[in-house]
Amino acid sequence: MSEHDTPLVAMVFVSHSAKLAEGAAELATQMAGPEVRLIAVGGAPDGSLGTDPDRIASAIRSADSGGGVLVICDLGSAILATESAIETLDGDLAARVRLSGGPFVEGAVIASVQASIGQSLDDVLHAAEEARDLDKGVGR
Amino acid sequence: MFVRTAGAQRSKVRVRNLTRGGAEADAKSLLSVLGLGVSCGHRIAIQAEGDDEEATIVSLRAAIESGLGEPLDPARPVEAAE
Repeated sequence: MSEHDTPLVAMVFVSHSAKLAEGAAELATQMAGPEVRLIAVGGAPDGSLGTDPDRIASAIRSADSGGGVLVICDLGSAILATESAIETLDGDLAARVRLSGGPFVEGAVIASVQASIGQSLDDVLHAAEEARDLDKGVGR
Repeated sequence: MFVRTAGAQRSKVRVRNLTRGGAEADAKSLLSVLGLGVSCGHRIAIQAEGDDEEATIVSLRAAIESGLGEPLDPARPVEAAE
């Protein structure tokens, strides 16, 4: 793919389930290719279902390569845990982190593809949010 | 892969599903392209506008003809049409 002048937006997927976060990252990598940094963070510190602000914060730190990070969360307290994680980050990094409450799988795949073509952090966030309106052709 | 190929070009790229009809999509937006509902055997029209418009069409056509990263079904040859 083409050379990018600025670093690509990176993605962090936060789920209550480690398997779900890893599955989202696997699918997003397949669609977006290897250039976008994608990190999955799932489960509580003891491996049970839950979320862990410390691991979310370190995932955001390792994901960022200067282009910012979009975090996509599954449900409820994943948002709260991510908000607490962002509060522990350095101001510069925290300023280039965005949080999406859009649909987990659709948002992960669509936003990762938009990140892979060098779109800005806010455009990638917009794509993740717009994924709410994805029409799969059934059930409407 | 279609969106990533389009995204690597400088031109504006629009795509339409000729088989199903409907509005044009921005070829650099996955959500927009998914909304076209293109499936195997459909005919699509691609329009590029910009300083690399010819190269854009050539590379998108090559990407489609090579199966967009998926194995081609020999029973369904890609039909080239202008």
